[in-house]
Amino acid sequence: MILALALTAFLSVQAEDDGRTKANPEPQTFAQVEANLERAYDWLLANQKADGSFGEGHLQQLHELGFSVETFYAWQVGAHSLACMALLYAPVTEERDRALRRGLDWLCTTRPPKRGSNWDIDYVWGGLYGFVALVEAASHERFADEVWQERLSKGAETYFDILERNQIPTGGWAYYDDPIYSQRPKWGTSFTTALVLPALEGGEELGWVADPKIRARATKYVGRCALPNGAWEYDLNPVPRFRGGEHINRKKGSLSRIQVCNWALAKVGEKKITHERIREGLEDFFRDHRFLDVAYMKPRPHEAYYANSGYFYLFGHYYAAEVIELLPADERESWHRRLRPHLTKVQRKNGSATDFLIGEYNVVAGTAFLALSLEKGRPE
Amino acid sequence: MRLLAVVCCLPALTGCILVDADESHAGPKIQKSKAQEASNSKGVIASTKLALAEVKADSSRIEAESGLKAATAKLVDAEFALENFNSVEKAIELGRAKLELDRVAGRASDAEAELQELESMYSEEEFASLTKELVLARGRRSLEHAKRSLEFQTQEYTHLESQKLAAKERKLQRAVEEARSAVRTAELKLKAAKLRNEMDLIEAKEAVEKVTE
Repeated sequence: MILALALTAFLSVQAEDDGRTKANPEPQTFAQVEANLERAYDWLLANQKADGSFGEGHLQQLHELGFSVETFYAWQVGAHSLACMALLYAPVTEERDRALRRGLDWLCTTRPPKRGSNWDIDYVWGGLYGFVALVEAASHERFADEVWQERLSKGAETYFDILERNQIPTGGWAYYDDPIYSQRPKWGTSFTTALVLPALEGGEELGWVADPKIRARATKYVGRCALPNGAWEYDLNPVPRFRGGEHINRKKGSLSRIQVCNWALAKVGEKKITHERIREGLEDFFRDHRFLDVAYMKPRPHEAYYANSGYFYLFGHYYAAEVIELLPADERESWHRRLRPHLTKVQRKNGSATDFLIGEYNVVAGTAFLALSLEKGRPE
Repeated sequence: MRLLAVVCCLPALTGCILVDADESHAGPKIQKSKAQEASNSKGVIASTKLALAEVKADSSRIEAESGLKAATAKLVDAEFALENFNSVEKAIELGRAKLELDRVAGRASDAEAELQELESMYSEEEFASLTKELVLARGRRSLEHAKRSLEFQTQEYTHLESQKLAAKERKLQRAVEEARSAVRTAELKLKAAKLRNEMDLIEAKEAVEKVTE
């Protein structure tokens, strides 16, 4: 019965808005998509819980039955953090501002996620995006007052503690450990590490991160994942893995990682990430975008060509929007015009978005990524 | 065919004897008839023996010929197996073993390179030394296993090249020799069967001729 209901719900979501049928949509101006953005914000506001949280912290879909109980809460914290970031950069309205403050309050006071099991350390996601969101909020003029600075700083301690304890010896972060299981894990990934790099720098500027070596190690980790052809290794190996013609470390399996790694290293001042390299990465992204389209909404991780997963989609588009902002101002809009239709085509009628499963944390994170991405292209 | 004719005559002859079984009523004419019948009976038996000898001759010839054919076929198979082994199989078996040896050697080389790379990466900074030690211990163990595996694979290859393949070749050669011997035996058996058949037929024909004289 439960299985049938879950399957029906899943299929109905797939049928509702299947962006895969629109692989090469026409470029769109911001004016054309402004209503999409408003619907995304409306959905976030309508789905905030009474306690200020977004999403649910428990198992909601059978696809994820194998994870530890704690992991669902960690994912909720991560998704909630992204929702806060989306509201932080949304045009301010009284309602949105109130929702954001309630959301940040929850993020600062909710219990810190814990390690789920010997292998399942998905609680790192809570640490990563919890820390990123609080750094972003604390760096924003709306939260410059002492009360909020102290509240955000206190909240960030718990998330930074997760990062500090889980940074692997080579400097990265990821979400699983492998035998021999150890308190400090040993596996990292390029994209997980990259997404937090600028926030670590921000944390140093805020005085939250005392040891600059943490960021230095992480920067080195991401830098080492660079492959000579412009792709980025999924995870750092002493000798890069490159087996088979459809390996994830080929460019077509690296489209989203290219954006986040280029963005992160450029943000922290890595000189190798030139404008030319960013443009090349974006061209790769749009040229081979069909591989992300095919993976979109596939319920099994790494199911599609080049081991692309559904959840690479909105993550990758968000960091594409971010990296566009690092290019000269006069060329940004031309890139955003190409990016927007790939976002709006996957937005559901109710304003939300997901690219993988339909659990609340997926939809909250997906909608937040979509809103953040579209907002980056808003004309000044 | 001859045997069939003789067998068909037998009931009729036996019937005559049964009809005239009451000897107390026999006269001179009858006595003469009895002698004739006895002579006829001996003729029939001699003819039957001749027919039987001919059948046996056919049978033993066919059996000996089949034995020779089977032995010849086995010899062809054994010679083919030996030739195939020397021209194809030996090279493939040795080639495969060499490939596996190279793979194992490659894995050992990779494990060594990875460990060196890992040690180099880990030596850059004093951080997470306990976790690093776990990973390095895993890398060292992996290298040690790869080296031991290479030792075994080298031994196996040497054993295959110098012992196992030679033993297999000897076994196949023995099989050819045995098959040749079996063919020779079968040929002799056929020859013996033919001689014995000829002798039996001559004896049977002589017996028939003696009765009919």
